[in-house]
Amino acid sequence: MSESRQGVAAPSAASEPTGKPSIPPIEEAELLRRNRAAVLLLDAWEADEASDQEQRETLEILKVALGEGRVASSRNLFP
Amino acid sequence: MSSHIVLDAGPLGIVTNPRESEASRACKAWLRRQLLGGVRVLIPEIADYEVRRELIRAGRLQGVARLDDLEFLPIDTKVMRLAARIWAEARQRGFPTADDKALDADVILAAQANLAASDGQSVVVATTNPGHLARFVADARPWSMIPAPGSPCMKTNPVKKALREGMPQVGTWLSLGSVVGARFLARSGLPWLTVDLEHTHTDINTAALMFGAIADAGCVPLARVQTGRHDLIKAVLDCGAMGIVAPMVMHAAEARAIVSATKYPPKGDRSLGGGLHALNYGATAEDYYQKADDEILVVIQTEHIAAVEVADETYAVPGVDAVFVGPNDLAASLRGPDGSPPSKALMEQTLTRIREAAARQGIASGLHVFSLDDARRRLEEGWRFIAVNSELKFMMQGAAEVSKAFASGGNPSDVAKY
Repeated sequence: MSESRQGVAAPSAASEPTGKPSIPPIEEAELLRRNRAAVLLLDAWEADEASDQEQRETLEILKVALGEGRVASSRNLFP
Repeated sequence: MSSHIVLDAGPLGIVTNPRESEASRACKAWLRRQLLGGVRVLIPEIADYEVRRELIRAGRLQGVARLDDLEFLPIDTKVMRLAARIWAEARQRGFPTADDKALDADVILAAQANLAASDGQSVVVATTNPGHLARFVADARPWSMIPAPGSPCMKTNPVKKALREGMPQVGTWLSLGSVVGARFLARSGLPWLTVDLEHTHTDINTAALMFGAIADAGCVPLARVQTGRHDLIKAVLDCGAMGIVAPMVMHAAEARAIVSATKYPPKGDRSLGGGLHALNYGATAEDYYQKADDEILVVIQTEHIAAVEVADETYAVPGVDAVFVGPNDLAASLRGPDGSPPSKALMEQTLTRIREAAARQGIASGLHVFSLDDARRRLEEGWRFIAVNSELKFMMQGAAEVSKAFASGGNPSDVAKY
């Protein structure tokens, strides 16, 4: 059992079914390749001037839905 | 052990819409640095689910398409079994994380993060609000508080922290506009130096060099601005001051405007820009934009008896860290109709009112003194933010001692008030 910063026990996964790792391991070269691809994706989204208004509206919707309107948890993700 | 970041739904929504604002660009830049630093970023399927269903409901198909381009950490039997246990234990302990009728996304996220950690990996959950998540995972932090590999760690403001904790902070004033003088004094061991732009010839160009010289020596540069105007505060902060001292603050509305000028949206209305500030904090501009709100020291000056009358309301303004007395103007406001100065007893009584109001509102109080004995006496009374002399006054006092001992001229210390 590890301890969280607030002193309440963080549940361990020790008693859960064992077997293959929860995160499939990947070679370092593959990780770097994937990360470079993700960086290109992020850069493309940021460079997409045509989606300026669309991105603003989309995030505004998410801020409401995952903020005060969040139903899947009482934790407001945009306080 | 390799380094993993589990992305919560908040940051996921932000980085897939980086053009929304400067803040979302900063979040995207942070994730980019993590990726280039070789960190493995995991997007749990539950975070995708939460973001995706809202986008579908709102018809934001381009947003959904951006999610489709990402790789996710799948939910499987192990995840759901652990999530069930976390859900039940949270309720047994009296810590529910969602309505019992709702799908509890946080326990599924916690299960995914904990299972990732159980593989022997270093795992931190990057979120916009750790909240109760910190009860269920070993490490959940605001995304901006997770440094990228090899990135500089932004300095904190030790003076602000010390004052918040009730510790005294004794520094001095810089009246000469001397970069060289600032370089030396910054190595004297004093925790802070205030560059005075209100009552001196020091311009913003010189002040910027002084802020850098002070910060590079590990000391905290503060700026006494000419007035509490937004543009003047912006200029000194963008040039690297780690805090401001705003003169002649008369009421709460003025204090609110001053605090707002020191904080970026949504907390305030400070404009994003500049780069010298980040250099002084040893940070990137993105890091600075994310963390500066918590590190800028805000000191307001009480210098008029009318301001003392409404001190409690003014000091209660959130974001005000300390009050600093301006004794000359305060005394001037207490003059009699014939221009006669206030009695020493009335001045002391007024100072006590200011200090007690600050204590009631939980902020530090401070004032200027001109001897070690006075500094010690004021500290014993409860003042915490003490300025002793200025570099000019130190210089002239030293010269006066020599003059008195060996020369027959006047008293050099009389020509320098601060």
